[in-house]
Amino acid sequence: MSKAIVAMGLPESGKTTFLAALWHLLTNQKVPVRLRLEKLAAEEATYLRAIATRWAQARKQERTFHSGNKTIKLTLKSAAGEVFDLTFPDIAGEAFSQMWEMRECTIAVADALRATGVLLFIHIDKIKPPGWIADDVALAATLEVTPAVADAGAASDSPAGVPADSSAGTPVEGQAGGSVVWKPESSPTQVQLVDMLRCLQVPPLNIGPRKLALVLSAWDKVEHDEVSPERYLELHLPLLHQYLSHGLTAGWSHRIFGVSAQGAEYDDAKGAPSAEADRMRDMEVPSQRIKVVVGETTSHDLTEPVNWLLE
Amino acid sequence: MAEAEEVAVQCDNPDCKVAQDGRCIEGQELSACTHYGKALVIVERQTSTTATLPPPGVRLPGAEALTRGEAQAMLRGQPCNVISLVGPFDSGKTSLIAGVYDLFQHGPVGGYVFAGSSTLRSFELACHDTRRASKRKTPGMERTQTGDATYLHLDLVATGSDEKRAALLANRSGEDYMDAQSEPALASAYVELHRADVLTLLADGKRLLDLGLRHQVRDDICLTLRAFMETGATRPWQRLAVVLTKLDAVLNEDARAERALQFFEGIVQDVRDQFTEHFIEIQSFRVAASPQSVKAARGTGMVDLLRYWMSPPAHLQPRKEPVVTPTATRSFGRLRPQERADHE
Repeated sequence: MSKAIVAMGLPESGKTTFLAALWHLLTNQKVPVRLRLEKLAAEEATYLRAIATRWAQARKQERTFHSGNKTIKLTLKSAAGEVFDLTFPDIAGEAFSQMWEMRECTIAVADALRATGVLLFIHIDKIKPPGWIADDVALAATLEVTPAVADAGAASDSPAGVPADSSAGTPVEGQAGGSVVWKPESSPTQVQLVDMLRCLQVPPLNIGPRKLALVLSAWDKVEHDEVSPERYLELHLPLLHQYLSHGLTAGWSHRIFGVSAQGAEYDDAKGAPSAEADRMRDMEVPSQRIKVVVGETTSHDLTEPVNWLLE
Repeated sequence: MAEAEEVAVQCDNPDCKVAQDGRCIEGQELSACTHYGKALVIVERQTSTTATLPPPGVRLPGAEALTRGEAQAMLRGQPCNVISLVGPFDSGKTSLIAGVYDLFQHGPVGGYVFAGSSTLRSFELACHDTRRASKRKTPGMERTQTGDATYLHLDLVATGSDEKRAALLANRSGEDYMDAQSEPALASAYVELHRADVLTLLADGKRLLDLGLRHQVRDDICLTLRAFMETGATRPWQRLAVVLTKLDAVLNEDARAERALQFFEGIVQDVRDQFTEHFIEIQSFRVAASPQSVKAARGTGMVDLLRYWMSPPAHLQPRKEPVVTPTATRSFGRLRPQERADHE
């Protein structure tokens, strides 16, 4: 028996890290999980081993864009004893950006997007919010400071610690203040994701009702805020939250997961070792780095969103 | 010398031919026109990559503004409210459309929840010059393209309901509507007017501050409506919204604000006096969709306007018709059945 899910998300949304941690979890069997690995043999096993090794070493994953799209096939066993093959394509986030920017995708991506189970990844540290000049002017007046404009204004779009978006557009020659023309990639994250979900509900990608597991990755960064994943989505991606509750076609169901597959900020491939990464390496059971939050419950079981999609 | 004078004649309204014929397209004295003397900023439109590249894979549905045919298909497929925005060049039509969409970026608005849109790219384009990403110092607005009206689409769900209702926001260049004042027959071709559930006429707040221009604001509204009436472009079941735009600019002028607001109320009264019988309802609104000053918060007045736009379409409301009982000419026909006590 064969089942398929698709992992979607804009670039650097945590898809490959999720897959690396999932493979580690399934092969090490150190924490209780809902789905078990039936056979060690898997398609793209070398790739899985490579990304799981980087994960175990607490090192950042290479971008899928550079390493190439992979389609993984795992043989899993459910708690009820059902054995099945799970197809899980690891597609570069650029393929999904292209859906918004170019209104097209490759045939292979389109085939993958016809799966009945959809994992949609959002990296909570890489959410691009809409930001309004009028709000900046009002805030500056309240604080009695000069409003930030041009480059400084664009930089304030980015969450702390994230480089300013460089894709906003190109300066218009001869226009005062160096304003830039609109480019699709400068649109807010929530707008791009709503459009992506809409594309799954109309031809040529429509296959009828599906299950959608929305994964808020890097959840460790907000776990001390004591908000549920659902509430976080409502606060930080309100347009997407409204769309999930009222816009999806009848028959669709969704669930929101807060997932920390990495556990903490890792060393960059070229960066100096971080204390957080050392703390992760120091853990006796690496699988315990993983945290999965649904509503009020927390576990180390990264198979939970996958299992829910396949139920 | 003559060449130097020719260079000096300029106007920031791209449709104005003042440089060629010396006349203001809006019929103003050159000294009174707010566009005359300002440089026309030509921003090269981004060439669509999708149009130049051959499709290598699977084409996905577009997310641009709908054409008339696409809007008609949507009207057939789901409940829709059509909102037509009418106003001269730079009166704030695109600002209103972009402003109402942008309010949903924060959450539900005025009892309505965002439930989708098939025109997200056009909304984003319309909003760009009000966003930080544009790197502008003050909010601006994309100019409405000339040609047939286009439609931006929002699916909304009212609180407590499960049914989606689409808002189709019709946008057409201001020049087209103003041309109808001198050539009313043009209005009969503006199909968005026939089908509109809410006709929205804009009064530019900035112009109301100018003692000379404010009278033209009144004329633009009343003469445009009259042209629509004369050509039968509107319907008696339609609602009319008269909207004061750029409220922030009005409130920013402390000394002249009150007078401008009173003048606006006078315009609304004129509209009621002349056109009440042609509409099922007339209401006025004051909005600041994308303020350039801090005198009004972004979105001021937009919630009430959205509610009005999404009012149940009056042409779908059941009307009470008087019961007409035909009187038979023959005596036999006037006989009534006898009521029986045991009749159930």
